[in-house]
Amino acid sequence: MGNGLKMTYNVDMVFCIDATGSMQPVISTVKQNALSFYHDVVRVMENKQKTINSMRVRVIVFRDYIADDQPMMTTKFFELPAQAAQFEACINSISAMGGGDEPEDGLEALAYAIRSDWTKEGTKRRNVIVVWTDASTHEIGYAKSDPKYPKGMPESFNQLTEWWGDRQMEPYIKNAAKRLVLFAPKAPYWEQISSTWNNVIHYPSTAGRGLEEFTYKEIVDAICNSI
Amino acid sequence: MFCRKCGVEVRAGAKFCHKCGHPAPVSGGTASAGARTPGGTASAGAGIPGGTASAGAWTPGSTASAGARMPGGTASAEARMPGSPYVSEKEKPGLIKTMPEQTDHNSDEQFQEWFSDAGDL
Repeated sequence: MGNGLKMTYNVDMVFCIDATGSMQPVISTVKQNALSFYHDVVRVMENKQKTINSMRVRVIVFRDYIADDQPMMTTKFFELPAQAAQFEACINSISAMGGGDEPEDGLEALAYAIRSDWTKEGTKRRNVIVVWTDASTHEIGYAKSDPKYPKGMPESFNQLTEWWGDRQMEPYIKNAAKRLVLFAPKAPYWEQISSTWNNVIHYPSTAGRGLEEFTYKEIVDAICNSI
Repeated sequence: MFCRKCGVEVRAGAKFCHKCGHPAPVSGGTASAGARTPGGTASAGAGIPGGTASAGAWTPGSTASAGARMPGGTASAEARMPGSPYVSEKEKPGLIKTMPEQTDHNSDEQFQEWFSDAGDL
């Protein structure tokens, strides 16, 4: 105390969005509010007496490697509020379509999210991954035979679990900083993640309904509860 | 019931096609998103409380989003709002298609501007 060290709170978020056809409702909700997202989060956090010094958001759009031409698309981090307009344009360019069979490739999206280029700045950090999906996931590697499937993915769900880490092992994301917010059905593998990984907050969604049951306010509150 | 856009079978009660995202046909009825009911005035079930909007007209933007829904209505039962730039076929004879399809589906070009293939890890 009194040493002149300025406390800074830097928040990085990665939005993993299932953009298959049934997800139209929640994608529309996010689109309608993308521009004000930063200010909405800051307002809620101020009510909690917390100040965010830096906020960055990255988006991962996932579908199904076998069924879709663009199964896994990512952006760089947007710095908010400076790049709020770009973030809004990015969100508005997402189309809900495709998907093939019911399980999607959400675990691969999670792998990309965990391996994000998280900020190293700030005396206090929060690395938040938010997953929006109304579907279960294939097991990791399900689409390995597809030419679009990337190299370097975890070999198994257990290895993905190791990537998420714990107190003793934090290969890609700091244990104290990480949070995983799941808007996902109680279905494979979301339920396993919810029950076995640490620092996970699961808001169960109804399968196949595009998360229509969640209002924007509930989404913002859920995210703010994690930071 | 089947999606009017891509033809895939849609689960009863679904508001959107799980394949392409198009508003699903109204369950149990003949009217669907953008479909006309001959000579009809909308019932309360069409989404406007006590409404008189003619069935078959559109909501502005026609995005069929949660925000497009009206009290008591369903996302797929769309009715034209006052001041809407869109007109029904009845109002504009000869116009085959007056409702833009999926207006929140921006072009692939815009998507490519922001997103790139995730690539290898």
